[in-house]
Amino acid sequence: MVKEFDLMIVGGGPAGLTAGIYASRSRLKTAIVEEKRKPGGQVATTWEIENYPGLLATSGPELMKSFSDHAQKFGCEIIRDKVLGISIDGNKKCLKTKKDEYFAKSIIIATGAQPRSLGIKGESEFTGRGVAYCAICDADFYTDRNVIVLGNGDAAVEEAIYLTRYARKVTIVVIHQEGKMDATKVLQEKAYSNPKIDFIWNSIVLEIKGEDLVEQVVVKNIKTGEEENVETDGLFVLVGTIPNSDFLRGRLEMTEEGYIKTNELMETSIPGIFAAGDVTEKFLRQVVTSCADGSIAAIAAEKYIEEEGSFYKDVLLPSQERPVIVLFWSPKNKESMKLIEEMEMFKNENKGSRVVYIDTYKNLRISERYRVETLPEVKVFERGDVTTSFSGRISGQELSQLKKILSKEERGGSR
Amino acid sequence: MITIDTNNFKDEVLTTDVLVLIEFYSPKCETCLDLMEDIEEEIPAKYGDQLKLGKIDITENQALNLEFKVMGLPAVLLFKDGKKVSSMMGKSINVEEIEEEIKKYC
Repeated sequence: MVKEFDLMIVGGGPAGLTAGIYASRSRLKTAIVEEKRKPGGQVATTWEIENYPGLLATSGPELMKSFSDHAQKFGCEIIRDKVLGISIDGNKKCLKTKKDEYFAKSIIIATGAQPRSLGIKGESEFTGRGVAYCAICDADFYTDRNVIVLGNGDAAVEEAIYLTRYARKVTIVVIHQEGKMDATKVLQEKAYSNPKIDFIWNSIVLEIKGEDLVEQVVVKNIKTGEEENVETDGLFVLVGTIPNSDFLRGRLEMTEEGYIKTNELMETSIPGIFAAGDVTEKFLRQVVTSCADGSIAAIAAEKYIEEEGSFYKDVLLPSQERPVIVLFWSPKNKESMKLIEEMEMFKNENKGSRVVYIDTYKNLRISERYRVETLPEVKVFERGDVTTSFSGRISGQELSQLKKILSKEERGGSR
Repeated sequence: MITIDTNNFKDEVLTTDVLVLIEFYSPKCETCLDLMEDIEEEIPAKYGDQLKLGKIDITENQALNLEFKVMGLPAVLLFKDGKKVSSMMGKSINVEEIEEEIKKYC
């Protein structure tokens, strides 16, 4: 059985789930493909969320559970699978997954990001043996022990605070000068006033050392150049994230780091493929901005499906049989209103001719694709391609040319 | 999966003839719970009596964490003839990878 959807969303974090809510509420047949059993993305491993509007405090897993229930309530399907690649097949998009193959009219990429690793000596060797990336998962191991947190953004400071519930002492290694961190002020204040938290300023971690488990890290002061061995039971690496976009490398336009480039409609470099959330190039990566991206992408995808669908059905497909005259117009353009009247008359005189009116204001994508610049513009489509084109005021001579094209068709039709 | 703790570890894991797979987990670790369900769904049917599955809650069994040097989740260990023969760690562990290891000892 061929599995077809209007819209398929890759990734079930806040962006994907919000897109799922909006799209299925717009009655698009929508599915989210999520690798994990429980959707939620990175938020599912965030202990406390206190800046999602309207919720004074909530936990990540709890918030994501209600996002996912919300999407399913409107009929969005959640499929557990891993997307391996995307290809274009005519006006359809094909998603190749680990277990299956799907077709969709439009796709939203919302694969998010994952914690970045440092690539320093000892890091991979000691992963799971003292090097960690998720405080909620691993905090218990550090009960009454000393840990170092590397990083000073929101995630780093939040997780350092969380770790103080278990650890004896938490030391944050900050690359910036004393008193400067990238985290939000409220978080900074919480960290400064927490008696279990210490700081090492102007510093980076160069190496991780130990026998079977982490015992020391080499900390370098970038101001003085001094290196020091600091005893610790664990190192939490929280130095930002990397986008999960490897499976699309070379297909979509991306930044050097792999963040997908989008415009304000969340469109990527391939028409009909949208991207939303942490995987995109953006200023602020938060649950609320991912939600916003997801809703925009869903509605933009809906418009895309509608626009492309009717253009295909009314113009491209019938043009295989006989010429279709397309008049690009706008309600704001007087000339084009006049031409509509003339075309109506023309239609009456030439029974059976196919004329399609496209409002350039509502169908920006199609108008741009066919480079409609001066209104009104008339284009004749034959076998899916433009064969004749007039723009601006249409002369009598041009009208008779149109007539000729159509009469040619009539002769063909009577054959 | 059998619940293993410091009290039954010896009987269930060390003095048994079959290969034993243990997942170390925490109730708060979503990745661990996900993996556990995957293991339960896909592994038992293929190996039957040749393999025993167990789970250890790391929040209640510090002694076992220390003994087997587990300091990160999820962690999956294989035991045979009273000895640890394999250990897999980190959030990227998946069932396929676990099965490859099982095949080596089964």
